[in-house]
Amino acid sequence: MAELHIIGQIVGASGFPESCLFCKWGVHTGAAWRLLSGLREGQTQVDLPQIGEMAYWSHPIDLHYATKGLQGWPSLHLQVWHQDSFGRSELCGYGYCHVPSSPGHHRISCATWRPLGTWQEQLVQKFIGGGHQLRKPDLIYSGADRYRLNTEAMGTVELELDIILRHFDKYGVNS
Amino acid sequence: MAELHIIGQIVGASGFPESSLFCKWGVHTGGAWRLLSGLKEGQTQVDIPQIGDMAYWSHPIDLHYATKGLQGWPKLHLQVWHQDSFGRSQMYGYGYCHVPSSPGHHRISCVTWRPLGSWQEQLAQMFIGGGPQLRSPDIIYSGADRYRLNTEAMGSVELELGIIMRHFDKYGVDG
Repeated sequence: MAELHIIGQIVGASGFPESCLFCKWGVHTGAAWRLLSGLREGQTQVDLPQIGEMAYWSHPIDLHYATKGLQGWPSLHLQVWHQDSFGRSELCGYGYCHVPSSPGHHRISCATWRPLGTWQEQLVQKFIGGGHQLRKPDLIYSGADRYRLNTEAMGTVELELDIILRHFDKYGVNS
Repeated sequence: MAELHIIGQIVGASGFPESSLFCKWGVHTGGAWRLLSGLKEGQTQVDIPQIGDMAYWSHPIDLHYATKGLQGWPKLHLQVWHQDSFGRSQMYGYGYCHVPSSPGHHRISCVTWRPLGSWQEQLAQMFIGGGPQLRSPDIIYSGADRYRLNTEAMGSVELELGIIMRHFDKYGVDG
């Protein structure tokens, strides 16, 4: 069985209109992949930047997968939320990126977007918050029904990932 | 059979005169290639950038091809459309790039162009939109009849693709 190690961190997020952000993340794979160790989803702490505007989480990711096939290569999906001073949470963006497929150190910038409503709903959202959320979050990492969405681009999430591949050449993968 | 995995995303588009863009994309191959899993064409959501001018889609591409020959290497063709506030769609550019042929992580910038009409048509297009479109879109990825076209260059589409190749060395491919 070929093995894949994903070792890294979610560094932080920048470019969002609000500070005081946290991130729910998860790694989604196909059916042939088996998680040997590590947590494949989680939630970071809420970070409030004091200097500058980038919110830093430094949330560790340490995953060990075994697989027999390359279909369903791991993809990382993120939801960035904003927590206000009253403790309410508001969605700030959905993001998605594939885990890199070549070994080594990668610095990934994952752009995020959130759904957009009508102009009346946007006006209400500017005053009291809230806004649209996806009913099923698997639209983040599948492309099938996306053409129905109207979205606005939000900030970016920075990740640093180290990838270690093992026994992939025994399965004929060229590198 | 040699196998090719294309794992990545259409990141977004920049350099277009209007925001509120979506992209119709497709992967075109020769007769020897067989699609084992994944969707080989799709349409992204409409994205309206709030900060900066780049529209972010982060549209996932996850394809698994099997092939016996190298002819007809996969090509990615794109059509960028603009959707205005009334819901009308206007063609903003045709783009095309070959899928990279070396394994690893690639960041591709795919430029786009759109057909240009006479000066009267350009003047009308400046006021009410619209504009000429190709009748059959296979001119985008074939070079045969292109000399008849007058085009103007539009913005560019960013893609991030990870390529995994399997068993290509058994067929004598050096790498």
